[in-house]
Amino acid sequence: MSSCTKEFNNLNTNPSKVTKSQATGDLQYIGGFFPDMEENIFSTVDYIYQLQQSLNADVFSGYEMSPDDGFGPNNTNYFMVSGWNAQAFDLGNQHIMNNWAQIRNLARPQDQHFVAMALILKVEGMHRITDLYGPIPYSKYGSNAFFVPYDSQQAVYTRFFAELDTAVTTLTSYVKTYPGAKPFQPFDLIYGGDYKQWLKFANTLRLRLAMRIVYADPATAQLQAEKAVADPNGLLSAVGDDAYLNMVNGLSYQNPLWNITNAYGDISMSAAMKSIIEGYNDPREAAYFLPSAYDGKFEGIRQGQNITTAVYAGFSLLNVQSTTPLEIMAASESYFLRAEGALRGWNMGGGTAQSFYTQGVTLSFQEKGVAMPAGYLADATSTAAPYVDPTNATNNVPAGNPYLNNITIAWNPAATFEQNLQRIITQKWLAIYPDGEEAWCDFRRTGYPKLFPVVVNNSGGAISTTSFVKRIPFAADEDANNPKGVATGVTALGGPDNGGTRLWWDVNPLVP
Amino acid sequence: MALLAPVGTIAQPEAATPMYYPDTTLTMNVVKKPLENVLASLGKKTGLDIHYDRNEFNTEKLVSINCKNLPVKEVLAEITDQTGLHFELFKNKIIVSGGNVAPQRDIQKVQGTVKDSTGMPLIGVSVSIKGTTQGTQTDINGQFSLDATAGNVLVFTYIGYVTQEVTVGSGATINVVLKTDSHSLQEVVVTALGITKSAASLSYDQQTVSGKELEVAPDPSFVNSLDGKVSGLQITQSSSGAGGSTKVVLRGNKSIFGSSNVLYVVDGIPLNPLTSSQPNGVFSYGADGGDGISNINPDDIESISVLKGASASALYGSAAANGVILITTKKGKAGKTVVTFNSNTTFDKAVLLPKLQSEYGRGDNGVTNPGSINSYGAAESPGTPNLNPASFFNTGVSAINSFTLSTGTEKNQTYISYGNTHTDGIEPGNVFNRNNITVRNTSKSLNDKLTIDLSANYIFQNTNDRPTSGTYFNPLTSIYLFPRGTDFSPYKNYESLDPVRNIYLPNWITPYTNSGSGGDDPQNPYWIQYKNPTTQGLNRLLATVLAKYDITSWLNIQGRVKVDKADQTSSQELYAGTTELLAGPTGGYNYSSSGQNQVYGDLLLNVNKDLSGDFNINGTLGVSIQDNQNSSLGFGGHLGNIDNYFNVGNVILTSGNPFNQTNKTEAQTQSAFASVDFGYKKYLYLDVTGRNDWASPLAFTNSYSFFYPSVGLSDVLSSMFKMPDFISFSKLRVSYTDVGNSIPAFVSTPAQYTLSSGFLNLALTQPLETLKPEITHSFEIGTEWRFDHDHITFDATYYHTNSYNQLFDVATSTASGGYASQYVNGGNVKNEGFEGSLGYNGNISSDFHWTSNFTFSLNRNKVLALYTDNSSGTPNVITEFTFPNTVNAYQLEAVVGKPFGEIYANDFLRDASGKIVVSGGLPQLINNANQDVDVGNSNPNFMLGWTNSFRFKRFDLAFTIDGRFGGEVVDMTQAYLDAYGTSQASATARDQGGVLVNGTRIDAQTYYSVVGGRSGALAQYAYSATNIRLREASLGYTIPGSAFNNKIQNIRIAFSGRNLFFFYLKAPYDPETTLATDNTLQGIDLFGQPSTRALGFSVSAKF
Repeated sequence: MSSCTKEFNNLNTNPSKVTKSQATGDLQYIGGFFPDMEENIFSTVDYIYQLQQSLNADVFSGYEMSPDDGFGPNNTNYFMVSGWNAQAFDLGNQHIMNNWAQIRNLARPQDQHFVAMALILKVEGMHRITDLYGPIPYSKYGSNAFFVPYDSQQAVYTRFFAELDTAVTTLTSYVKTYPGAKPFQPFDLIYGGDYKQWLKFANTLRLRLAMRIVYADPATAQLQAEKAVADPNGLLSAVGDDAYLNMVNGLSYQNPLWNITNAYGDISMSAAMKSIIEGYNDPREAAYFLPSAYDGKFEGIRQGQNITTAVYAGFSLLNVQSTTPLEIMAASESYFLRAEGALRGWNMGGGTAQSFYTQGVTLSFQEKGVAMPAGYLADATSTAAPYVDPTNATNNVPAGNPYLNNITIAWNPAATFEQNLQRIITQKWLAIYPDGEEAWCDFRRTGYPKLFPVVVNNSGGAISTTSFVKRIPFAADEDANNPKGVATGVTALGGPDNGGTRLWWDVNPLVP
Repeated sequence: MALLAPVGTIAQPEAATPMYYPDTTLTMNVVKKPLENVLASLGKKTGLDIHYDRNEFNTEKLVSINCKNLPVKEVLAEITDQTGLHFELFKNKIIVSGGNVAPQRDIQKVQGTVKDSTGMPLIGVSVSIKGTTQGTQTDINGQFSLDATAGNVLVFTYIGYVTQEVTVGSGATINVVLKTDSHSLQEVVVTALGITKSAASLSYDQQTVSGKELEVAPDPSFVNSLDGKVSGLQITQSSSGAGGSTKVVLRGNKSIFGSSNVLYVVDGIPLNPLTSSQPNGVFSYGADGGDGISNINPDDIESISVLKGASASALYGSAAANGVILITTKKGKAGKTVVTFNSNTTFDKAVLLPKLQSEYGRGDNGVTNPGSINSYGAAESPGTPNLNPASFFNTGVSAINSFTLSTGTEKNQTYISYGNTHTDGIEPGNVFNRNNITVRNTSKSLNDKLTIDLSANYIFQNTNDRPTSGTYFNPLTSIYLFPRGTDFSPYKNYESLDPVRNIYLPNWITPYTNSGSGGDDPQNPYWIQYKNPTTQGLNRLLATVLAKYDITSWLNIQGRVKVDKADQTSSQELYAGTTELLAGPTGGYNYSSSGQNQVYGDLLLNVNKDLSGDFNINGTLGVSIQDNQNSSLGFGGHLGNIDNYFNVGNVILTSGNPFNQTNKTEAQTQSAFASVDFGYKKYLYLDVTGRNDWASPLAFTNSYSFFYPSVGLSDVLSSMFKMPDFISFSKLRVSYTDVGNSIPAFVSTPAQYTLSSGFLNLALTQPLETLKPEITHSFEIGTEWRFDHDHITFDATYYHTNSYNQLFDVATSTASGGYASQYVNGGNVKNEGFEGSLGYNGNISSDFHWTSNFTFSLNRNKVLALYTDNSSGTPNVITEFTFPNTVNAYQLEAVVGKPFGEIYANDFLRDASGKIVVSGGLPQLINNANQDVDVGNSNPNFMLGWTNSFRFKRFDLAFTIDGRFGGEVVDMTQAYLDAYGTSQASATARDQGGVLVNGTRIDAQTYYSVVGGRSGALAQYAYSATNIRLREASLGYTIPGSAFNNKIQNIRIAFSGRNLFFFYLKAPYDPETTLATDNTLQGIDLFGQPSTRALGFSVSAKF
């Protein structure tokens, strides 16, 4: 009988899938995993992007709000939808961690530059996950078991910095040894395989993560921030440094926000955005949003309502085309980070808080292709405008309301630390749009810019209306599939697994 | 036989051909010549030696022969007719014998009547003279007449009755009473692999349904006609119209991850099930694509046997663990050419439509708002138009027309049929058309030792706009949610020319026309039907070759090959103007084609021998191979620059939610098996089987070989002991069976990667090389009794099965390695039950006959264990498994300690005292799938069926009542209607000033915005699935051939109905319809097509 069954192994090998041996050519068996990593920092798939961040961080950051009347109680009014909030977690594991693990396991000694690249992308992808949930499985990822323990967020951040150390060291030495070599080019959708750009990206990422933990571990924050700035490879600092997911190497996608805002009709401009950007007479408004079908003007929706009718269906949609590439990181962010560092008295490479702030705002206008109005940076009077909901006056936020973002644009060396921090973060908020995850981190960390509290709070007391949402609960499928793991996560979190528990780095005493 | 004494041998020295060839033919024309001369002439022409004894018969008898190229055997038969002599062909010799009877026998007219045991004349009974081609059939009065000579043996054969032989004596009248053969001791049943066995020897429960019983009220999918006729058979139809899939489960669900559907076996060979993708969620882009069994032409079916247990597994393999439906198809018959024509037309009407309100118009919170998508506006003023959902549905028309021809000689029979089924569904645009062509030829040669059976079926069918479920591409969503108090008539004209774009765009109410309206984006229902058309095509060829050779009278060898090749296509054209959620600005196109090829071959050695007076053995030794190859190619996406040009060249393969993929799988199973029956005195039988499979999907595991045995015992008590006269038959049987089942292809294959847009991706399920085949142990014990000369029948069976080592695709933490799931073996699902039937078959008066059969079945199902994970050191016992394709607020689960298929749904959040938590004026929901509440089980506790047929003179009447008791369903459609305010329930709530929650009334819209919809408190929409209905009924009248000068045999005209009415029903929809026939969306309705009542008439003519 053995001769009859000798074909069984062949029969049972799926010809529609790729085996390791089939992918050896052109190093696809290592490099082939990178595009999937880069594509999933922000998912290119609309319905995944929607759950990954559009219906949580993009709303919690104050950028946007959903006009959809079919959702029932949901994240936007603090009813944390367990089915939605697993997406980001799974995406990170399946598309970031897994690809990194494949590359690490398959790399030969001469492939260490690939491992370095995988580490950078892993830190970039996974910090966005831990900043949503707090503790995550990180060091014990890939045990192939039904129980995977979680790491505390502090442990995860410690690992992030160490991994960036390894990556920067390896790539720096590779670039020195092989100047001009671009082995990563066939797999890179962001920087065309240019390791020098990736080193700038890694340094800027380090600076971002350092600033994140400034209230939890100020010493490490300063150490890492200064290390990032001091690295000879530099930071992202010009329009050409912006990290976009480019349609190269065969990648073709539609910007997911285009479908989410247009076809789904599930995301629109928020009230807070309208209040701040119109208060500043900021022309970036037209670059970010479209005039509403409701009244031809820009109209934003107040966060945290029970929307049961289609009244907001015509409010301002996002101004995004299907061909608009996804922005991974804006170079202007590095200036705002340095401005904050300088404000804190750190050595940010020979500039002042004001000079970095000015550079950041100027670069942001360039990045968005919008001409900065004359006198914009000197405007010492404009602050956020009162908000009027044309369909429902109970949502209005009138002049004098403490939730209006009461900061002007013009730098004022005489202003308090907090005022200037608010100024930096507000402009950073406008510059890094639409990266709601980063903006929500800043809001939780600093309390800026000031946003409007929810009108309706369906959290059942778990989330304070005046303190705002602090995290999203652990993934519901983890409760079912890894209950012991979640238990270690809850312990590491140090509070109940709901949207009101603050993360490890979220300890600024001035933030309610 | 007389020996060759002083013989007159006619030697033929010049004969060129020493051996007799069965196909030797002869041309002869003699009129009234002496027999001896004729024989001499015959020998000369054929080269055969003819041996006879002149003393035995009158050689001078005059015979006449006029034939042209007639086989020798037939010429001899003709001489037999005229002389009564017997001829035996032996090598190159013809041996003539006449016995010791009088040399002269005169041909006489023999006539008589054939009746059944109840005294009813039997029409169309075949009466033939044994060993000849001569014969006739009984007429409408059961009478026959033919020429025969004394000593001839008349053979009376009739479907469903025991063949009887009567020797012609001196009398001219022969009256015969035929016994129905389903209750005969000598009854021979077709069992696994087409092996015939004595019914008495079966150690398991097998129930037979004749083709006639299926004709009571035909359904385009014949299997739906089995409802209520077989105990233990649970049929659930998909709500996808004519030609849709049917879930058929015997003795309860067993397999958690795999299928619990029965195996269909056509003429001894397993039929490729051709399962199609099933609807899979709230939005559900896909419609059911039908299944393999729905392709069969019901008019080709001779009879159906249902093997309820796993006993046939040794012979059919793993798939038979869920029971088998054996289908025997028609063959040509020797004798007169018979042509039949059947025409059946039925009219379908939608029933059980949702109840919509006509009190409150469009708007919200009691205020009219023409921009709202809800019907929570102000009270309607009198005369306000309201859309009646029934107006959308047409009267469906189903026409089933078929033609069959049967002809043949003793040596060679041919059957040809053509059938056409054409259905215009109740939803406009839904058309189903199927054509079946069958050709079958059965022939015998080599001295009747070799039988060759060739058959081919070709099926081509097309389905347009097969009804779907879910909210997208479903016109019912748009109809049921259309704002009340709004005039629908402007939208019947569903499109108009847009002068700017110069194409037709849909007419539809705002704000649905604005993309980004939120909600569920219903489109104009007619636009969906005509401008989002789906078409599904099927071309299927089944070809079978069988050769059987009788080595001796008790030993034969048989080989078969069957090829089943099915090509299917599916396309969806989305015209520009389709909501942008579903298509691009210039339209969209999705296309896929798939091929499913199955090749089956087997070789059997059959033994059937009496060993000594008391013992006999009936056994089969066989090997088989089955190879399945499936492949598919599909693409889809938004259209490019050319509006409404549906071609791959105009599809942007990266837009929308694009897909472009090829898939290919192949699985092969090789088997060796044996089945042996030992019989003692024809009343005690021991049946032992064993089978070993080598399955390619088990490659890479420890072993791809597995063995499973069975043993059974059957005892005919009524033959063993002397029983009182009123007991005509009694039998006890017991059997035990093991069935192994392989795993699906590729699950054990080492890691492979998927390619998406040219980039490597991880496959989401972790491959495991430690997997084992599933195993089911089943035990059954049963008894059969017949009383009062078989007029009353009773049988009962108890069974018990445990299924172990089930394969699960278990979700894992995505952090365990990036995989979303991994396969494990485990589990123990127990099914035990009791089933039985009680029948009556007899005369009420001489003209009035009544057959009645009552079936009962009860199944108790329990998940005893799922699996235990030992990978993390301490055993981790997993007690819950959620089936895939759960939708918001609903999930189907297997939970340890509960029956299989438990429905869990979202519900109110309650405080410790059980009160609903209300916050901010809103009732609060659990909204966590992990904490959904158990609302019941999707399977019934027990089922009853009662079939009746009456015959009064030329009238016949039949009906079936069946009932299912227990089980629950949830109706998400109602939840949607409440959320939108179109339901009568929502109006009633408004009339009452709101819905009572904890004793306080909450505004209806506020309440239903939380409780209704796709993610509301679905547990509040759970209903009992218990229902009792008049399943089918028919009234027929047979017009005798005499009314047509006997030009035709007869014509039967009948009126019939299916799904006529419910005696009892609590659910708002038909709980026996389902969205999907796999293990997922059971017990839930979500805008499925309503059930239909069918009324029709049929004409069948026999020539």
